Amino acid sequence: MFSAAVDTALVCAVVVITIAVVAALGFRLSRSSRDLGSDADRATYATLHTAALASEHLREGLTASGAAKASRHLRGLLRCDTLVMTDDAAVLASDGNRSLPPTVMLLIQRVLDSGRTQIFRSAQLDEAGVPGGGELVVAPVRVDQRIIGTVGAFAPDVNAGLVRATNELAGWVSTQVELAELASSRRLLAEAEVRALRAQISPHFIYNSLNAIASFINTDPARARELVVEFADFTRYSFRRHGDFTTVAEELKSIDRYLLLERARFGERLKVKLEIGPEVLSTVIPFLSLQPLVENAVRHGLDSTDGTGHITITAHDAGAFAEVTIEDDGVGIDPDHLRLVLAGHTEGVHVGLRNVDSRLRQVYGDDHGLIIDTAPGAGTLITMRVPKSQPDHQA
Amino acid sequence: MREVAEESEVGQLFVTSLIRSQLRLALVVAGGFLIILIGIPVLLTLFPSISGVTVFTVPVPWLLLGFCIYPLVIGCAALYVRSASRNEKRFQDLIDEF
Amino acid sequence: MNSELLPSSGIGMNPVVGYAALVLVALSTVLIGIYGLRISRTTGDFYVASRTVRPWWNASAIGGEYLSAASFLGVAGLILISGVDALWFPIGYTAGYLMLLLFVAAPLRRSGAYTIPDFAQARLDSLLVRRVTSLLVIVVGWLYIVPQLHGAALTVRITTGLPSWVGPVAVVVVVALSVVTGGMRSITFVQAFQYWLKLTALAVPLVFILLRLGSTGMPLTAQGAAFTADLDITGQASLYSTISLVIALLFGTLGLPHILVRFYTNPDGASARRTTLIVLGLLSVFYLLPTAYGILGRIYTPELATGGGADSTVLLLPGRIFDGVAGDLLSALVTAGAFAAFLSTTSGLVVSLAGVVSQEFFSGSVRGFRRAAVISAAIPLVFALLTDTQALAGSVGSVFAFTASTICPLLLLGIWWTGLTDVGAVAGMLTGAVLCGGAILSAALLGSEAAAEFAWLQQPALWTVPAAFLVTVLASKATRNRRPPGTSRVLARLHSPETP
Repeated sequence: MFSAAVDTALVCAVVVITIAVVAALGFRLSRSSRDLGSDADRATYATLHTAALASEHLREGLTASGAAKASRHLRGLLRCDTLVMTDDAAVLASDGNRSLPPTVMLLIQRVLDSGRTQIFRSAQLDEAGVPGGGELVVAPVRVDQRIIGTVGAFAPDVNAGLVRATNELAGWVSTQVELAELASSRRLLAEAEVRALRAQISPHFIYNSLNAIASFINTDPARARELVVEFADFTRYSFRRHGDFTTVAEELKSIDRYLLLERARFGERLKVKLEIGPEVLSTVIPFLSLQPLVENAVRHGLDSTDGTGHITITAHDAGAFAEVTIEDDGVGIDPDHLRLVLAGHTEGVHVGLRNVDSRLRQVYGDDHGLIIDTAPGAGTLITMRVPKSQPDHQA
Repeated sequence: MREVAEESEVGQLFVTSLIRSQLRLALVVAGGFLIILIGIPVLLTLFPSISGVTVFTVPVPWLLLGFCIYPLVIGCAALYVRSASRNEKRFQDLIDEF
Repeated sequence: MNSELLPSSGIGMNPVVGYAALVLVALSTVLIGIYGLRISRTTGDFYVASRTVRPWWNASAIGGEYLSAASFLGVAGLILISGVDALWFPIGYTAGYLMLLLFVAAPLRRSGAYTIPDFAQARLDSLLVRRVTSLLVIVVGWLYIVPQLHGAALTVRITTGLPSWVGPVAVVVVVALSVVTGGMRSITFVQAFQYWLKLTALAVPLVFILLRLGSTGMPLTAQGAAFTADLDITGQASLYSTISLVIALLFGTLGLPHILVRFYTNPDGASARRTTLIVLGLLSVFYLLPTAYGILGRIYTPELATGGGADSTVLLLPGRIFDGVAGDLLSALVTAGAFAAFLSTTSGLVVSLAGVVSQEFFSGSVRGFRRAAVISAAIPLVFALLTDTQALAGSVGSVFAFTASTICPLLLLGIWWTGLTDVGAVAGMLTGAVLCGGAILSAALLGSEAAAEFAWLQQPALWTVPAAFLVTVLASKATRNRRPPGTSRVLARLHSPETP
């Protein structure tokens, strides 16, 4: 059936088809820059990006510190020797290789007066006592028809391109200054949001942690510095503004910082053991769903009879699920009381457990609530089972 | 950043471009590899005399199929990984600046 | 199972060696599974313990799970039987990962899905697609476990002289126990260990063999006779068969059920790509070894070609070159590697199948998962005990063709094409399953006598894969109003890089 003739025909067909495919692909590839931008496009948006960076620093209006930072970016846009920014009275900032005497304002004052872009030749610069030669082009910055400052560029030879660019730049700076007022109101809003989120962390924990850090400042400054950094990272994670989900790895890192801070207070009274199966680290879990459980275990563990808390945290594979357990050898919880807490009938110290439990049930269904094995004096083992597959949620 | 990509219309456009460039890249690499791969038996069938050539007593078909293919596979893969990351980097730049 | 093909006691092999190797591998697998967690008590370790897996580890684990009996024993056996044509198998197994890298790796990781049915449901938002995909994944998984068990039967018979059924039963018992007792708490390190064990098990004896041959002046290739020797009992493969086989292997890898599970361990899409690149390196290095065994086997164990025991080439070769204790030790190493190959692939498949089965039929509970694991291991055991040992690499090739014709269109079009609909996906998968399954079954019924005329039935991938794609596309176009509304959002998620 597959004689030599058929084979040869097949070979020819394959060769023809592959050549056609290569040609088609090659043609399309030659235009591939279309989608993610050609080099010219990339240059354009590099420019826009620089402008955006500079605009950050003009959010306060035309201030000396803002202008100093912005001028660094803006000089790159004009590709001039030195860029100078002034308000209506003095030089705010200059970026570049030459140092400017205050007398340069004598020249710039003419632009402020006339409201027109002007070019100063090297002779005029010498006259005003500006060293270094070259030429200078200065354009006014207007807000509401008022001239509030200038932008100037030094170059060996000022050409039409540079004049046009300086002019445009001055216009752009004007717009940014006008926008500055809008920005300040937006900032107030963001702060209010953070304040609302901050309520999620126990104020006791913040107070106690800061106290513990304070106690190290004199005795062990290096440790205190480390702890402050950990504290900052911990709060940054807890104040995170985006997303209801995170990964087991992220949550464990936050727990690590939390425990470090708690150990600063309790020292050797807190012993923590960790057993992690690396394949579950990427599993998605609700944000701040483990940390309250660990907090609970720390509190119980330390209340135990000998005052030393042993806590074991494990995370491992259970088929299509990830199983996380948190165990302490502390005072335990009265099961009847626990039932009331989880049902939402009582308030009190275990409210964190209820919060986690109800979120898990809400997200994964009633089969995935916390499993809590406990009795008074017998320690507590909390088990959480989360499906590994969660295409609808992302960290 | 993914939120931007998923929710806004401009983000959608960026994503479509990203998908298209990644697909094009994958097709080009796969096409090139398959041409070489399928080209080997085609050549051997068209020119049976190649099979007689030996290098250190090893016939050329054995050498090609038993050894030379693997560096090719790894080369294609490395090329793809680099280019795919570059596409993603460009996409990221677009979104960031956006 | 056909134990008359070979003498029932080991061919010049010391049974103690076999027992020791099997017990050692089983024991180390179980122990690493239980204690392979990252354990820490101090702050520094804590950071290490919560750090996601490095691509190198992950790649080793993927390699460990992927390199099955077909790779470890089958490739050398097939080279012995059919010479240069057999080299397409390791090429296909390796290049399958190239296709995986190009089209699937990063997007599939970003989907957040743990199994292929999960992906299908998330992408198409349809319970029917999920059901059909689950069914196919289960069938593929079972078909893929059977050759592993055949390999176990062969290895145990040759190395210990025990009856054939002992091998499969032992593998299934070890795997099922470790899953059911929840003992396998961390499978990544187990699989990574298995890769390096398999590599060592082939590399060390090979180095010794080459040194011995070099020093005693025995022939390496017998002046090229190793390559030209006519041991072929299969006849030369036609161009059609070769290309069809390559297509099956390239695109079949995409849909194997145990692969996605390992990719899940990568923290993000970019690291999934890096991991795949390393996997390609690991596989490339590995496959040079069975190739070398096959070539040496053509000189030193040519009689295996006709006895139906070609797959035992790797196991017997060290004993042919070395006598006494040295031969025993090297044989033990190779045996351990072979056993690692069945164990790792079988346990990877059973775990991922049990995930699918328990989700589909036991609502995902803990007890349901255990039951599902027992079922997933027991059914292929029955199949394996009832059927005959085929050439390992060849029977695995059919599974790849089936996967390429069914799950591959769903994955590729699901990831890259917005137009896919649930009707299209189901139609395509069923078409591929019926055509490919039918072809392979009829080829099996016709028997090996009719081989040459029915190459298109034995190697159907070249026409069934395009057919499945075509049906998927056409049916999707015909039902374009059924495109799920969230398609563009899902695709955006699959392709856009994660927020750092």
